[in-house]
Amino acid sequence: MGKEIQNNEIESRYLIDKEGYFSPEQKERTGKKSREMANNVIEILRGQKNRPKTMHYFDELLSYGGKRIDEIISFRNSGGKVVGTTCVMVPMEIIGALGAKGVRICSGYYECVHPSNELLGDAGLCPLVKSTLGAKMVSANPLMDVLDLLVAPATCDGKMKLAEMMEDWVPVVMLNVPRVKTGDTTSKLWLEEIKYLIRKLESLTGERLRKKYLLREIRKWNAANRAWNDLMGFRLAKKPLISGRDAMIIAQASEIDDIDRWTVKVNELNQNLKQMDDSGVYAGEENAARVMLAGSPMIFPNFKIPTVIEESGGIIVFDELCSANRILNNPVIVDETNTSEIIRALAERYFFPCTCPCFSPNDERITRLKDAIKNYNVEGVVFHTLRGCHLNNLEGTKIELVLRDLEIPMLKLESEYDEGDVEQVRTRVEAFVEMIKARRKVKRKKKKK
Amino acid sequence: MVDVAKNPVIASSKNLAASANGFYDIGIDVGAISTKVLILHNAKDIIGKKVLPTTMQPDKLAKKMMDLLLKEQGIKREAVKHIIATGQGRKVIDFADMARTEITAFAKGAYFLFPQAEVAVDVGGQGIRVMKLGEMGIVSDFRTNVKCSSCTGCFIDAMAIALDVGIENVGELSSSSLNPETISTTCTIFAESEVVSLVAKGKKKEDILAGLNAMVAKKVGAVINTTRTRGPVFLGGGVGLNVDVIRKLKERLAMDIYVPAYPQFVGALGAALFAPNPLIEEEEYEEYEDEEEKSQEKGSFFSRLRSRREK
Amino acid sequence: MFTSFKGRQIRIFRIPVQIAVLVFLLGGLYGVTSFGTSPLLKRVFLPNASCRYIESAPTYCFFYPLQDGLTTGFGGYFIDAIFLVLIVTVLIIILGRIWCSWICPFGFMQELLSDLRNKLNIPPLRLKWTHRVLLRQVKYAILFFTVLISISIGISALGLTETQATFALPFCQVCPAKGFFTIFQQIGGIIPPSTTLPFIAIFMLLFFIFTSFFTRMFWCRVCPMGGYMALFATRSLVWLYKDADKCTKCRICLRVCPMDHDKVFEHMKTGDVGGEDCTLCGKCVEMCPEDGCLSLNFMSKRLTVSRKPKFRGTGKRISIKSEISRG
Repeated sequence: MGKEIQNNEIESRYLIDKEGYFSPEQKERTGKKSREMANNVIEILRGQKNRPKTMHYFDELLSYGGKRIDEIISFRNSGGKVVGTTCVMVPMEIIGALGAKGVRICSGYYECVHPSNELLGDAGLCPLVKSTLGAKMVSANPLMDVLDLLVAPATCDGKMKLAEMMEDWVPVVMLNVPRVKTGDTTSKLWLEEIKYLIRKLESLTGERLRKKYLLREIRKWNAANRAWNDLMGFRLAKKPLISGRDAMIIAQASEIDDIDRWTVKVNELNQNLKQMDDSGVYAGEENAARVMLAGSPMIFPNFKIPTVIEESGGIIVFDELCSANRILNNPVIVDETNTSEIIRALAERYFFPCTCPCFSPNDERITRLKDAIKNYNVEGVVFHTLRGCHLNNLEGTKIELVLRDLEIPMLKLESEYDEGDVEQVRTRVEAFVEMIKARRKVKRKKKKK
Repeated sequence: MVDVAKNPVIASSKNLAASANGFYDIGIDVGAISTKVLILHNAKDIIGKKVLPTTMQPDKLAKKMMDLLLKEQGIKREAVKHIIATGQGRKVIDFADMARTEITAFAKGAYFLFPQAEVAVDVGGQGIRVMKLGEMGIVSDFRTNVKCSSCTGCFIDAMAIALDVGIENVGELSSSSLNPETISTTCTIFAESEVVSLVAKGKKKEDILAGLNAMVAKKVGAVINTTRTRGPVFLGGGVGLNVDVIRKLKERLAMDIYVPAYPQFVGALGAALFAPNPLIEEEEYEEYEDEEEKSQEKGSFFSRLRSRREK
Repeated sequence: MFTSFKGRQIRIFRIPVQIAVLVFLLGGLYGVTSFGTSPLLKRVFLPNASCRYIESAPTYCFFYPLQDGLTTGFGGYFIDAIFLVLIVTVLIIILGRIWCSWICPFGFMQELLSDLRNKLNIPPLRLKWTHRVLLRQVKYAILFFTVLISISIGISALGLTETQATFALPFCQVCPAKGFFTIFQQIGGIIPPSTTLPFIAIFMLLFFIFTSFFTRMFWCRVCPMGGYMALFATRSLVWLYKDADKCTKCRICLRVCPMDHDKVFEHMKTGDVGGEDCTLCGKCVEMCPEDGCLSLNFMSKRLTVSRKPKFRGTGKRISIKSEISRG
């Protein structure tokens, strides 16, 4: 098998024989199980009570191999380029302004972990990384087969090595992320990385970045941000009008769909919710416990924990996840309309307010949690980490101490891409919800005094 | 160190049938290893209790136990106002009125038996659960063992079988040990084979048992320490009958540990206490009440002008 | 003028005020009569709201009587000068450095130059931290030297009194206002076009235009009037308030601040974030994307507060095109 390495070109780092490593039956089985899983989750979601009709659009978007894949394939066939991202820190406006489509390829399918385990061994690695890699290796996620380029900021160790592994299949552009935000050099560093990204994307699409198109994209995404703010306002209500899982799907869909179409649909949904509010129809159970979800990302269809929470008498009113709220939380504020200032505004928006725990010290996250607890009347926090996510695990202790001062209970869960521990999780979540409801009595007695 | 905090009165119902407002509640705790049923009178007196190993059909077993108990005590089925189930198999009991998790139920039972406790520890068949008790006995934080069930009741069960010792003698036998063995692994499966090899080497049973109990005490102590408590500890669950574990735990923690006379029934007692008490005027507490209408944070003069215009 | 998407709520108020000042207080230019000849009104000298080189201006800039009072050696004008300094100091303590962005015509000119630069798609020259710190000290130096030179001219013992004729107002010779208003009036035909300007005045005017075109608010960093106001940089009645519990540390406030006032971002406690640099222009309040984080306060009342961008009202049928074009 002695392959000569010519000109220091590495053909493949991780798999020498890519084609024969996985059998076609394996590939088919993985794809079938993933499709089943997505369909199961969608069915459970559709079974919620008082769900607005517009949500069907978002289910369809995220389903396995839906209409969106066909759209992207026909776009690609007519010469368009598709750029994948692994992180929320990549500016989608730049991709759109150059005429390409951006999609987020993080994978939540449980079955795709198994091909990775064959290659990497069953170690305590981040299951998100394993699932994304596995989905690419056996072509189990149709979104990943249509990529021309992958942009991967080197945020955490897992994602960094994922980018390295994915280079065997797709050209990858890795971005340096300065992990400490204080100091004089961080803004300049990140700005240079974004300019480098722009150069690479320009050479991919063959077009130059024009101010007119960039401004148009920024306006579109700002309109999306405003629609999202409106939607979050409906979760503030004393009786929430939309369940947490639905909001999480909506946020994820924004990174797959065309953003202006998405904004129109969310606006429609907001109008439906307003009608529901006026006629007194609500989602969730009576007197549900108001829970906030924070921690490692939960990508559709990995909705094991939110489902358990919302079936046990809680309702998720706010989430601090990079797969939900962090995507659309901040607008781009453009002050001066010359190109380099616009790019600077864009780069800073994607970097500075980001509350990913890969940054240290991450006080912004604490402020956001405290602010949300006050505004949304949160009664308990469920902090979930994936196995091997040290950054979130270490932050969990810090957050727990802060919440103890505020007298808000917290539940720490660790989970994998596995259905096996659902019952254990369910017991603990049920006990947590009972605890929250019992505390209302104490609070009421205290208030009466 | 094995203090009895409050010895519940066990009286026959024949005396109490005369009292006017007698009502009965039944608590059923379907655990992983054993099922416990308990009858509570007037929300304060324990009338009867029964424990049997859990079978493949826990609902039939629970019904049989309940009927047996009612017949023994001479109580009619109609006199039972509420049946509340708890434990792992609580959802299977279809004739129960309410189901509560074993965490909340145990805490309620602990608070009833020993209100000064700061921490309630349930060392059951397959789990170690530690609950921090706050005001009015409401749980403020809880921790359980995750993913691994070693150093729980089933661990001691398996070791007792391997050593051919009756489960009720484990505590006493290991207390008499003078030279405890050290076991090198916590995994139940691996420990079993280590025990067998130790027996083959000729080590004494009580020494091996003492080593195992020390391991259990260490694990339980570690879980208790994560709650950062200094206060009195209330311990229940089946392993509470093992005096050696309690002694070693007390040495390890240097805190007061209180164990009731019948530790494995605390969960069922707590479940029965959840029944709404018709004698006490208790308000519905589960309702979510919004705090005083959160005034929109003081808007600026212009925004108030705007909103007034919009109205 | 409106180059930004979000936030025009304060600039909308500022521009008419600045234009009104330019028109009325400069007086004379458009035939507006003066405030009157009563002795009380004649003593009202507002800081750089007017200039001595304008023919029929109703009032003068504050620096003029200050220098005049000192160079004439504690003579008749000195009492006026003291009286004036007291009034102006009290006004500064009450209102802070609000003159710079709401009243001063220099501030208005600098903002217009910035808008012109923006229209021509030229990025601003952002100064490095060391240079900013240096420039902050320059304004105190100019103030100090103005006063020193004025006093030394005034003290007859030093023998510089004969320069009083030509060098009566040391600062006004280098102030760009001299060149600016002279040329303006020449164009407007108010003074004969043959009036010559000394070379230094033309040079300072060009310097002002050039630096303020490429850097934002360059003159405000070195203006001695600003230096005088910054000496009293305690919290005035109109002040900038920050609620640190809502701050997401997005650094937008620092990026848009024309004066590069670091404290608005660096200060992470709820309270006053103004200071010697803050001219209360309100740009950070307009641009901050969080509800209720920054606000301009009058005593304890929040006048205008930063807001989260929202749709124009849910429930109405809104065309998405109009939302997108709204920015």
